[in-house]
Formats: sequence, structure tokens, C-alpha cells
Amino acid sequence: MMNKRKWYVYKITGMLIMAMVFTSCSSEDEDDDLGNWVDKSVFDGSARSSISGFTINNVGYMGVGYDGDDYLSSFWAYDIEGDYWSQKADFPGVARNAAVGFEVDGVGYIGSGYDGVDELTDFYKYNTASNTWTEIAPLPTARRNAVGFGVNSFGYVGTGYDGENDRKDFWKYNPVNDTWTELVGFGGNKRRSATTFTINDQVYLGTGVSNGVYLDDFWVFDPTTESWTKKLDLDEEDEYAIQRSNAVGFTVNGYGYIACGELSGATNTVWEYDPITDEWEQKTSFEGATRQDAIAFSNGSRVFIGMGRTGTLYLDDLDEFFPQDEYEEED
Amino acid sequence: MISTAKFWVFIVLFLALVLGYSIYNQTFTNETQSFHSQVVNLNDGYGYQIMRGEKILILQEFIPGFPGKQKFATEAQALKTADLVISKIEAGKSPVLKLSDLIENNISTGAVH
Repeated sequence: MMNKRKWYVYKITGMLIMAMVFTSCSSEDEDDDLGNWVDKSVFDGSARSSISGFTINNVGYMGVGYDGDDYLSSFWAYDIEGDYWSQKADFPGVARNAAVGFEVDGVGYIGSGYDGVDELTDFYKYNTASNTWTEIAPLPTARRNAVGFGVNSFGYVGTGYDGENDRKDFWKYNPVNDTWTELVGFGGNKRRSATTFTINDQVYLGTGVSNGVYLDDFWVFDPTTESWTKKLDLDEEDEYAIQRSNAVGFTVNGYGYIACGELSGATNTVWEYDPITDEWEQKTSFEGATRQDAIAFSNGSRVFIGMGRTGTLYLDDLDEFFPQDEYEEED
Repeated sequence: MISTAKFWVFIVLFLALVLGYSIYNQTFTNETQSFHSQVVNLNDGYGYQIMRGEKILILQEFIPGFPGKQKFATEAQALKTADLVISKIEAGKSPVLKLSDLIENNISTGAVH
């Protein structure tokens, strides 16, 4: 009798332990995608979306944006090594969101955008050494939700929305003589809220939306010849789910990434682009809240993604992304 | 009787183990630690840092929002400004300092050589 009861106790205990081990294992195995996310400094209370910025050396700069009530003009720097923020010189133009930001030869640029009433043309450059802003020549046509990138000592701004229509024109900024010239030859459709990333001085452009259609074409820009070449579509494979708008694009260790964004609501999925095979692979989704209009700071080997909004909730957190690591929930 | 007692001892031990495991698994965060500030002496002026526990959240070597690299003229001004930022964070507001905040608190752009 006693032995039987004892055996019964062991059996129940054993089954419970096995059940525990089994459930903890299965929760780890349910997601095979590579990529880990680690919480970094919470930018306490300064939740904002549609921010603009650039990364210079190991500092990510971001400013302007919209917090749900106001258009913003404050400007901040995130120190990647130290994991802290500093408030820098205020953006001198009218407070705005949906501007573009890019870096050319160590100088930051922010311009265009939307102030709540009008699409804007004015443009400014930021000197990191002196913490000062200087107005430069305005973009020839106003727009918001454009793309902007700096490559090969020039700045480029294109696509976007001008208040009446989505656009497909591109403009090239020459910092030497402070002039904008139109760049012809982009073969893609007009669009707003597209994404770019740059790998080895080749600029990849995709996603975005126009008239409610999420675009599936994908392009690469070679700045030495200033020509655009079409790559495989973003829906080339059945399992691809890359199309979206208001995403962030960034580069880490030779791969390009498109993360978060909007596709009939905010999304947190992440796709990795291999420029050699022209193929995409899904990564571990962004760990924080799903979001659109976020910002990414990347120095080429490390990347931080944060801010943005989900619906009408404006976010203030920042996560570091390790694309090749196994996912861990606890960090 | 003895075996019933043993049975309950097993169950209690097991539950204690599960509870211990779940507590052990929790990531301890510094969320409950309070904000505080430290003045940074920059030789020709002052800055501040906003900390939570041991962690620096904001390091401000120059007066926030101002163009250029203007430091606080006195330790008292740096401390007053840092405390204003903390009061904003604790009220759930943005830590952004506006020009009007600085004027209200009589913060002068210091360290004029």
C-alpha cells in the first residue's frame, strides 16, 4: 500500500516536471528566425514619431517629429557607446514631422516635411563639432514623407507627397556650391513613405504606398553612374511579406534591413536583404510594441531602433538589434 | 497516514520550486529606482547628468536647445536645470527643455570668457 502510494507520488511529480520542461522548450522553439532584440535607454517621456535624423560616427542624431499634440523642433543625440541622450541645439526651422534626414561627409541634413498645414521645402545642415545649424538652399519642390540619403559626397531626396500628389522625382544636393539639381531616371512609380538602405555605396529603395497600394518594386541606385536598376520584386517569393510603408531601413555588416512600418496598421516584422543573391529572409520581429514612423541609428555594425507610434500611442523606447543572434526573451 | 503526509510534503516542495524558479527567471529592472542629478565640472563651466540608479540617461555638457557649446556659468544653475528636467520626467512629460523654461529659471548662457 505504502509503496504503491509512494510510486504514485513520484509519478505525479515526474509528470509535472516533464510538463514544465516540455512547455518551456516549446516556447523557445516556436520561432526559428534569427535575430535578437535588447532593450536600451528609454527616452523617458519624449515619445514622438515621424522623426528625422542621421548617424555620424557613434552618435545617432534625431529631431523634429510629432508627439500626438505638437510638431516638435527639439533635437537630440544618442551616444551608442554610452547608451545616453543629450539635448542639442534646437532645429531652427518651423517645427515639423515627416522630414528627411541624411549625412554627407560627416555633416547632417534635415529638411522638407510637414508643419501641420503645409508641405515644406526649407533645408538645414547640422555641424556636430560646433553644435550649430545653418540654413541651406531649399528643395525646389515641397514634400513630406520623402526618402533622403547621402552617398558619394552628395545628398539625394526623392519621392514623397506634395500635398496633392505622390511624387517620383529625385533631387541631388551638392554641398560644395549649395545647389539642387533634378536627377532623372528613377523608373519606379510615384510613392510616399518609402525606405532606403545603403550597402557598399549602393543605395537600395523599396516599399512605400500610393493610392492605397503598397508597392512591390525594388531598386538599386549606383551613385557613380547615377543610374537606377530594378531588382527582384518584394513579392517574388510566396513567403515574402515585405511590402509596407513608413518602415525603417538600415544596414548591418553588409546586409540591408527593412523593419516595422505600416500595412493596414502598425507592423513589427523584419526582413533581411542579401545584395549578393538578391534574396530576402525574415528575421525575429521587433520585440517592443508594433510601430510605424520609427527611427533607426546604425553605424554599420550596430543598430538601434526606437520611437515611432502604434495607432495614436507615441513611443519613447529604443532597442538594439543583433540580426545574427538567437532570440532571447529576457534581455 | 505517513505516506499522505509525504505526498503533501512533495507537493509543497514542488510548488516552492516552481515559485522559486519563476522569481529567479524574472528580470530585475531598475524601474523603481528614483531619478537624480549630478553636476559635471567642465573646468570653464558646468554641465549635468540625469541618472536613474547607476545609469546615465541624459548627459548635458552644454545648455540644452542652445546653438554652440555654451556651458552653465554656475554649479547652481546646472543643478537647477537638471532638477527641472527630473521634475518633467517624474510628471510623465518630455524631458525637452525649451528656451522659455530657461528664461523662467533665470538660466543665463554662461561661461563667457
